[in-house]
Amino acid sequence: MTQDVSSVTKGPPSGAEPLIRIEGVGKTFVGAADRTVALRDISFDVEAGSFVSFVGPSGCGKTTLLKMCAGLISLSTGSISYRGARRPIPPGDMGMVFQTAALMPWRTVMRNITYPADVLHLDKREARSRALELLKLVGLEGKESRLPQQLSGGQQQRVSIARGLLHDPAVLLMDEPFGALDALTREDMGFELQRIHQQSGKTILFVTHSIPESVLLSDQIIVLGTRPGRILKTYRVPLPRPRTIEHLQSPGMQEISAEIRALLSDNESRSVGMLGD
Amino acid sequence: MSEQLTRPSSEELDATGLLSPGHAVIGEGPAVRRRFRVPDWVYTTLIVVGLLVLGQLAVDHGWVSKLMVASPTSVWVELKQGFSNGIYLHAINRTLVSTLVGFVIAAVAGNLLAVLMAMSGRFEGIIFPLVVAFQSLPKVAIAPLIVIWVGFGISSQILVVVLVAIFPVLVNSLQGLRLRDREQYELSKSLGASAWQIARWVRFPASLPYVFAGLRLAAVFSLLGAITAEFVGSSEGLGVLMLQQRASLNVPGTFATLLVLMVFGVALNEIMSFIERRVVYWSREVTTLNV
Ligand SMILES: Nc1ncnc2c1ncn2[C@@H]1O[C@H](COP(=O)(O)OP(=O)(O)OP(=O)(O)O)[C@@H](O)[C@H]1O
Ligand SMILES: [Mg+2]
Repeated sequence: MTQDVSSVTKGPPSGAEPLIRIEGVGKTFVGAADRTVALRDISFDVEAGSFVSFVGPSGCGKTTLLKMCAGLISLSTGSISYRGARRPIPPGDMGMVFQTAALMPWRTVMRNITYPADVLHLDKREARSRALELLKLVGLEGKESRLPQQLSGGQQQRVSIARGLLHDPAVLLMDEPFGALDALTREDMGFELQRIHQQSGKTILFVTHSIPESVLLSDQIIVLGTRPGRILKTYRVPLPRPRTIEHLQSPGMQEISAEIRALLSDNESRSVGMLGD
Repeated sequence: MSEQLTRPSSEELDATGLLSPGHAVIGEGPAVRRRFRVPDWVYTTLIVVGLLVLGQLAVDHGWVSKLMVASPTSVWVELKQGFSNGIYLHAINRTLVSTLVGFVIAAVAGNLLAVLMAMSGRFEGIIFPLVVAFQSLPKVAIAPLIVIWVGFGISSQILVVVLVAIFPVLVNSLQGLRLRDREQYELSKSLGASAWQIARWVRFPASLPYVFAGLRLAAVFSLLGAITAEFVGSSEGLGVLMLQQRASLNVPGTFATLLVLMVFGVALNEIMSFIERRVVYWSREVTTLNV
């Protein structure tokens, strides 16, 4: 849990036994007519209990990377190890929150949240009471018997966050979970997530488009560039927790934010330039 | 169902853009006074009544021959008589049995085939062309052959119903089972769901709107098949009754039987929509794959 108080560092991560180790991972999608190199030579370590964010332009392979960690997409090159064994995160050990809410329209909010309990054969009554707690946590008390279509997009997304937490997974994989939320709710949910992270010691892999959000929440930020998808730089955020909105204004955080922004816009302009040539 | 979605026309939206009840808005600021809007069913009823009156006048005044059109009153007399002496009940009973039994067999067999095809691409690849080829055959044309094979009894009618109704069930259910919501699937996988769990909790429920679209079509087709089969070879049923009435130049009787058939068809449809609304409560209407 304790973070090296090194300032902004770059380069391959180190550490004795990481929870997840990604080594030289690449992905090429082979279509009927073309091949897309979605990711090339990705390497990083995720320590147990750490919060790792992925930021990068649309199409740089964030979703692909997350799904590869989950074993949902095969690797073209490289390897993924989990707890020292060469395999992706085993099913049931992770909670997934997808970029879209991915709720089942025929299930009520309650039954959507308890879906992991159905699959994993968990106790029904316990699952229900836990689901009610989670509903409160995501600010949807009293909506348990609604159908997804009766909820707004942001509410649906919060239901899917609650579902990701239901079975108390060791690892949370979250793909832009706050994408459809308004700024204030988004902030609240961010702090809620930080609290969950601190209390439960879960390992969280978190995709976001918001640089401040990633700086606020993460121990480690992985900045990805596009064409092909690759790691531009890895940052460590050595600030103490819990972090508050005031921390965002601190020089250290401002510095990291500014650097990531510069890095991304540089990557963007360079790839646009390449297209122009 | 779609009725409700299309209902709020621009007329019903008041100045604030909110849906107002179909009553006159009185007072409440300038220029919001509007007339009472006559419900659609009033016009529908008026058209029906108008047609009935026209028919009655046409026959009574000899504008058309009694051998071509029956007057509404004569149809009514025929209906009352037919129901009191049990002719209709007997015929309805017979047609109902062959329609329903055939429909249920088609529904079960069609869905079973669809599940097998969805499970095995190989099976689908082999069987589906045969099904399509068979479907291109006008079923009415093989009805006489079926009577030769199976005989004059109710089983030949049931078989015709099954053959007519199974196709819409099969194609629609298969279409539904082929759907695969990528993220629901991946979510299940991330939890370690088995193929059976995914089928039970994701694929089957997702296919239900399509299954019902197929069943609704099949219900209508079943009645069609039953009557066709009766025309071709049967001794009982509404279709047979109509043939007999026509043969004895009983025009009011023929019209009365048609009316019974219409009620029959509407009832079938209503029952199916009722069940559908209960089972696929979450779904908006699905476009039906027609035959
Ligand atoms: N199944 C697939 N077949 C072919 N190409 C794919 C497939 N999935 C993703 N890609 C391609 O891989 C690249 C990375 O996609 P990915 O969804 O991982 O991006 P992303 O970083 O999540 O983007 P966003 O921020 O928009 O969600 C894109 O160029 C995309 O077109
Ligand atoms: Mg994505």
